[in-house]
Amino acid sequence: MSTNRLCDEIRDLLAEHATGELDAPRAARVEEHLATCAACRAEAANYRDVVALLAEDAGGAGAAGEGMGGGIPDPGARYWDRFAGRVRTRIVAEGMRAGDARVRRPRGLRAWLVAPRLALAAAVLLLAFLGLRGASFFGVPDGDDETLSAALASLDPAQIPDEVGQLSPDEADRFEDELLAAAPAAPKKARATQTPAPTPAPKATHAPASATSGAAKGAASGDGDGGDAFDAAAPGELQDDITGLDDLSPEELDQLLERLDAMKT
Amino acid sequence: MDDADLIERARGGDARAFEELVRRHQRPVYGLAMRMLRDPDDADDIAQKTFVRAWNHLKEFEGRASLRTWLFRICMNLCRNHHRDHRRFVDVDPESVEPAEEAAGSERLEREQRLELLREAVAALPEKQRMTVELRVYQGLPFKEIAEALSTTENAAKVNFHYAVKSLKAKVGDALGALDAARRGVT
Repeated sequence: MSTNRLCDEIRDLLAEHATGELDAPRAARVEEHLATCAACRAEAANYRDVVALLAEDAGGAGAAGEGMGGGIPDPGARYWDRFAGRVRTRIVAEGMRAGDARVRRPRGLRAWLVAPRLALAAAVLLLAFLGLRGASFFGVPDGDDETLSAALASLDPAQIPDEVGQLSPDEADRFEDELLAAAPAAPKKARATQTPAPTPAPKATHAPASATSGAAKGAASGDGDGGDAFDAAAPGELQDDITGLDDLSPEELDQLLERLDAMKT
Repeated sequence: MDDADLIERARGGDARAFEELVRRHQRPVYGLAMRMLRDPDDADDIAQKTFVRAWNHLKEFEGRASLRTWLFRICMNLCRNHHRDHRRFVDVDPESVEPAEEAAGSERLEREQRLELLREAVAALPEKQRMTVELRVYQGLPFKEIAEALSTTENAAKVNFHYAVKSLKAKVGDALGALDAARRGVT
């Protein structure tokens, strides 16, 4: 075999040689040639440099490692601590949307976070509640439908997140904290209309936060049936300790979702 | 409890078992998505979607490859779809990978320059080669698992890797040489 052909053959093996992938016979053949060929030795050195650089880049995250090398900024401990919870939220939200029987209805106030359209409903209802002095979504007296529709139509649906999975961990936490503050354990009663104290409707720049601050104000006012804006706005039979929209029966929920869909179009 | 036990429990609807699986594999999945898409918000979304998909299709996981390999496969498919829909893959013009000509002022700067050159060159590789390098170098998978993740054969995975390293050598090797020469010229 001519030197050039041999060099070509050896150079085709240099990548694997540099990464240690070659079997013993071929590795020995390469090393035998490199001992006598300066040009191939230089090529081999280049391959080794690149492979070493790849290994250096991959190991860049050090102990955090585990596929986080390559200059990837670590999002931080808080992100990692909350990631699994956000995945769970998204699974439940998608499961509920699809009617997945495996997905149990979530319990507690985290219910707000796992049903995106329920979260949207909460935002819309509370804003309407504050703007219209507490006209409940379901219990709107005859004649007030137009006023309610007008108020709801003024909201910008684009500013309300479609998917609760889009809430950042901080936003999700704030939302839940405000809900906790706004909605103490509700009396287990069905619908009721109420007229809480007048409070200016907050701007819907970010509906969940606005909604919950509105809820906090509504709840703190202590008017109507005890100030529980959620229970008045979205009544239903209570299951376990759940308060709020999660109390709705399936029929009431369907009604609510249909109205929301109509609003968005 | 190993992955196999957790998977069995998760299949039976045990959400906590699945959450433990998420915690075990969240970093490499996020890391893969981040290197594919180079955007933290997109990577976060794709990483979440990867696990949601895994939950929805857990019964179809046969265990031929490791769970991590399966997750990587889902993640890369999602990245590919995302790229197709949003054109968000970091497409680097292969001609744009140029050697640094000025001398490096410090050791750390020089190291960063080298790594940056390498990352740009990796990002400019053809998709299959890039994914092979990603899984081999950054995720440490053996070629057998890489083949599973990329729906190819072990030999094809090795060939892809071979050409990827060759291509990187061609692009980066000369650039590294220029860096070395520039540094020697200064000192």
